[in-house]
Amino acid sequence: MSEMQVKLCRAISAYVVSAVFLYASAFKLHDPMQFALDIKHFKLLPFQLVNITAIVLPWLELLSGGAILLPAWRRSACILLMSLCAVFSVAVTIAIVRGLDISCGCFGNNSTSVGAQTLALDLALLCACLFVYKGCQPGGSKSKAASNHSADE
Amino acid sequence: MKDIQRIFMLLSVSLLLGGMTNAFRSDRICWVANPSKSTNPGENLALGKKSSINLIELKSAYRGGSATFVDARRPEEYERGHLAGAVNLPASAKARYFAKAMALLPRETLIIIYCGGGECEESNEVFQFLIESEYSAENLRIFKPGWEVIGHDREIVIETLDNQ
Repeated sequence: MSEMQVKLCRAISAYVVSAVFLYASAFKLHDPMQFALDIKHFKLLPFQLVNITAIVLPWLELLSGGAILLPAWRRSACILLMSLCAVFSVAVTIAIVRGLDISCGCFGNNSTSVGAQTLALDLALLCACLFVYKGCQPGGSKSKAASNHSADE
Repeated sequence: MKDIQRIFMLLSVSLLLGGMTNAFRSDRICWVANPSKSTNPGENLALGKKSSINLIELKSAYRGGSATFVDARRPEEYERGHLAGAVNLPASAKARYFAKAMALLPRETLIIIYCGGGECEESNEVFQFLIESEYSAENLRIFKPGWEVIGHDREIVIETLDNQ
């Protein structure tokens, strides 16, 4: 695969990840009470931390989902989104192991029940973020290859 | 270093925007919920203890006809089998089903709620919903062992939607 194709794949991955997180955050921002209930059902967070998570997390998804499209912010957004995906994957795995029949809370009322499908989505997003992250350089500068390419020009 | 600054900035702005939007919402939620003020028996342990009943109490109310039973499981589970006479008020669609179930749930009689059993949360959610719908906590009870026990008890009549 040529460098150009890899770059294009990274850009598409960034747009897909962004779209998924923006879409997911819209539902959670619309109904934080329902989202708090969904978080509660996972029985992982202490009761006192449930509401603050329901208030802040949708904004974090929205801002990180938007920031991944900005080259200067891409790396930071990727780190945050990878952390979120990792946390979601662990939470879903624990729910599956405990046999909880609950909504994943991913997309508000359109959410599916927690299961292999949810875990697959979280892992796919994690891989996509990792793929995008690999194309970024620290501090949001262009990748080495891209810098060399610009220098040649 | 720049990345850490930006991550910190994203976290701070999320916290700020979350706080601001929540403050101006009509349906705002408390930052830190107080369990003792909760009307959900799963969160408020004192309420949970007070509202919970055992199998003997459930059978006594069932035989005496002194209670109305609410099945908080999903409609498809209810259709497969439920305690005879129980009203379906699924936690997943309480508001929608409540309009239909309201006439069958008199406020002055005892209402016993059950769900699947084990760690199921539906009973707690329906309990909370009924409190919010101005039912008295004094008249609401939860049978925690739920369908896992009811469905296997020989003294309790089970109905399926086919034989109704």
